[in-house]
Amino acid sequence: MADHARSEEIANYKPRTRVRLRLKEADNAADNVLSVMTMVVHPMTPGIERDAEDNPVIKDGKVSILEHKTHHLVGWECKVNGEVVLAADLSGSVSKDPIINFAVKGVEAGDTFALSWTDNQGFSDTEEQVVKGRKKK
Amino acid sequence: MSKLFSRRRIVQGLMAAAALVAMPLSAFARNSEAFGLGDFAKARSTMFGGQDITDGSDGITLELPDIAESPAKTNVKVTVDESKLGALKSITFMAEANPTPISAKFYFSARVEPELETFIKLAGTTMVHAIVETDKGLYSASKEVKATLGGCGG
Repeated sequence: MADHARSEEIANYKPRTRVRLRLKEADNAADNVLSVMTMVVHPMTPGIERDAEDNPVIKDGKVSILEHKTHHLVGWECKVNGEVVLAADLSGSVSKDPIINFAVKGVEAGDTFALSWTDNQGFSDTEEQVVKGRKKK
Repeated sequence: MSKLFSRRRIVQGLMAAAALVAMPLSAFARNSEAFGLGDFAKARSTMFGGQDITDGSDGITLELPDIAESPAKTNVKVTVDESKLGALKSITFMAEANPTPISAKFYFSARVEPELETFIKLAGTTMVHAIVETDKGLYSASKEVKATLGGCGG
């Protein structure tokens, strides 16, 4: 399976990663909350082999996956100042252009936020941003 | 043909290089066997090693539409009440009718608020489960989502 050349679509894929950060600052920095909105531009193609009736082909209790057609994220990980805060294992049944939104406590302005991911075809990307504070009223 | 072959060689080289760069991401163990299984019950027991999963609906808020307008992009939000269920360690999303029922597993550190939003594909009308792992055990919350068109094309 792995010997198949990748489809043109996969070969032409260009990783893009978007992160939007918003820091809510409290009087005590430990109570700060960073809301994180992330999106990876990715086809998330499950590559499931289907029969003539469009039903998934099952082999030995497992869904048959066409390795040369499948293209989805596998590992996804967010770090603050190098420390992993949220990580995920993903399959092809996560929607196209995966959006994952969450919030991290105790983040301060000037901290570094990074999202890294890998997919099953060897692509990967990292988006790093410095957390910006807001002017206090 | 020789041109195609050389391109494949280049691609394989790039993939090998990318795999090396990607090494640090393996900080969390992926149960790839469970991810590939097509049967819901089997996938669940493989992922959680047959541990008991308690109904956690009083401590888990699972927000899903009643009817998925576009099943390929179904919004799902989960909030876990840690005072009831204990410190959140992971959330796994499963859709029973999907060819591969496990959508994703999220691993939480203590610094992340116990809530998360994402979008999953649904292959028709199905029960969707959020299986929450805390330091006290495994809990689940479920909801049926109606969908007429399959969301798992490709």
